[in-house]
Amino acid sequence: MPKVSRRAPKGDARASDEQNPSDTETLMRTETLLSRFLAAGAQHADPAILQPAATLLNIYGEGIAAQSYVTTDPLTGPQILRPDFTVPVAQSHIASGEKAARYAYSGKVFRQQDRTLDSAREYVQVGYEVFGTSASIADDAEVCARISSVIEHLPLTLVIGDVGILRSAITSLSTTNHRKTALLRHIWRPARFQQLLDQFAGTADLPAFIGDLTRSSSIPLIGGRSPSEIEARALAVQEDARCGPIPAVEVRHLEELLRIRGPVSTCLLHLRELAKRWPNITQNINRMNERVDALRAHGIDANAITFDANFELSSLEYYDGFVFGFFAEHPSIQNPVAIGGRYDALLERIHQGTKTHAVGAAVHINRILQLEARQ
Amino acid sequence: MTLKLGVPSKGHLMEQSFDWFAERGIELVRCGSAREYRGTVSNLSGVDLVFLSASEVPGELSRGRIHLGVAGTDIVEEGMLNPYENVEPLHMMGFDHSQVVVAVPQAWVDVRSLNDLDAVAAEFRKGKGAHLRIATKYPRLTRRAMHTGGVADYVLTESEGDTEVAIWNGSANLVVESVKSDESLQANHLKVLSDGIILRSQATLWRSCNADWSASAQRTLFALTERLLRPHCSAKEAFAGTTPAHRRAAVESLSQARSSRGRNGSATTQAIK
Repeated sequence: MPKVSRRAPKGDARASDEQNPSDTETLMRTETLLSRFLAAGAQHADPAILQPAATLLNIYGEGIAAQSYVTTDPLTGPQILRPDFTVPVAQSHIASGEKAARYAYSGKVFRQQDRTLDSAREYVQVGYEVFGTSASIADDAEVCARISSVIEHLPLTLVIGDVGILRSAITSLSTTNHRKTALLRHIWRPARFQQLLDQFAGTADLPAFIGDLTRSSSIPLIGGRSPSEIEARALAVQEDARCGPIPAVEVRHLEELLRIRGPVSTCLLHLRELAKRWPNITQNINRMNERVDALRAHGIDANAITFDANFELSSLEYYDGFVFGFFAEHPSIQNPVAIGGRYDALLERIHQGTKTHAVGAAVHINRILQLEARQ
Repeated sequence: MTLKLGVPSKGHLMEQSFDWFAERGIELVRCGSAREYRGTVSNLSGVDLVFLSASEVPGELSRGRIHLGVAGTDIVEEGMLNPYENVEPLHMMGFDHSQVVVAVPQAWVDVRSLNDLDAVAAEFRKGKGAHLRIATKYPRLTRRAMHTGGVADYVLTESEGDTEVAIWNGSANLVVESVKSDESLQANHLKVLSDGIILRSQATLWRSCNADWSASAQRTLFALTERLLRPHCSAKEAFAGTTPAHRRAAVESLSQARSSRGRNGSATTQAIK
């Protein structure tokens, strides 16, 4: 007799992992945190749950697009259930024309989960965002400390990083701008980043590019690229094939940089050691140093901060400077209780030519309540 | 308790499925008129035929409303999340072969691989402030292929009709579609990227892991598989693959054995975060 497994249909299972605290409890805590942010001088931001899909998905990129719930309105077309608050809040800030401002918000965000039924699809966030006229270290530290102040009763580890250090390292590689741009573009996709780095370092073969690159006139021009665009890129590809590899020593330094993780003071020493051989990253290391001092001035224990050069790069596509997260020491809550960072480039994407800078973070209320329940 | 076997309700796929079972001594019979959506097996008791449109089969299998079903690998991998946790392939049926491919305009002489496509996507974003648009009926397979191939900055245009049309009318820049030969691509001046075959598909007989496998349903399955035995797949092997990894490996080894060309693009299953 063949052995056949019997299993309940998957569709009947319930989301169970994030054992949701009661709605009242969540609501009360949400209100408390929001009022603390408002009391600190933030304006209340309250973006709609339904957002125009085309604009938002264009800003977020395919990573968040694939996770979003999209629906259709008969008059206004595709709409998306907000997958986070940052972009809608930033849009309304830019529309307001103000230069500097602080915002606080609270509410649900919605993400599809395609791996398991055991994760929440909608969860409550309370957030705090600071917009300014420069990428100010004081703002970085203020946001991080503000978030810390509402969760300081919990056993959490603060992990910080700075995408700027990695960016400046890539910019200083001895290679063409074309290759640097490609690497910078894929910082958030570690597998692809490594694939490109291997190609550019000559340790993996460049995809063969042989044969005729001239377009026969009998082939119709379809697909939305002009002949000059196609020819320019064909030339660029041939040029790139002739260009030498990134020196092995630089690749080693870059890989060493990406592995740096540990107590922030030790990591800063390590970074300074790297900077002796690689001066271009010094400025960003100094900024990190100042930032840690600023956090200390806010009363955060600098000895307890973990630095991670590779911090959450794969999940935070729009952050491009300071990044931070608060992690539970409890193994059952692996996702950060709060996470945030600086996203100046995202603002540039929302509004070309903008001179606005922003740093912000959001707290996950359910994770706080779960952690408290376990204590 | 009868065993429910889902088969395609019309066209070539239905005829070929009937023929495939007939060659193995199993005669599928449609009840009443040709329009009726029920049937039986004339020489094996305990089987109910359920006629379904091809795209319905994955859902019915995963909900466990049918025990067995005939569907292409492409339909199952597109239509079902974590397919190999919900179904297992019993037989690759050897017809309805097709490939799901990434095809770009032949005019794009500089684009030969996904690596090139990613570079073009970057230029598009930078130069035109727009994403590269991919027309497809296979959004899940497309996202998976773009993720593993390292292509960023694209958007999907889900298309119901012929996807090539989307390129001609300007609503898409490239397509991911299912093809049986190069002909239609050639005719539309499209070419497949060198690493652009993302799935090789054929009609497959699937077993649902979620159906109610009562003792009588198991007996019927056993009687059925005895008749279906082929040298490449003993009954023991057919039931040995109990983990998702086994089942995926079974599909790959069977489909590779049947295909002389290259690696199977579906080998790297990567869920989107």
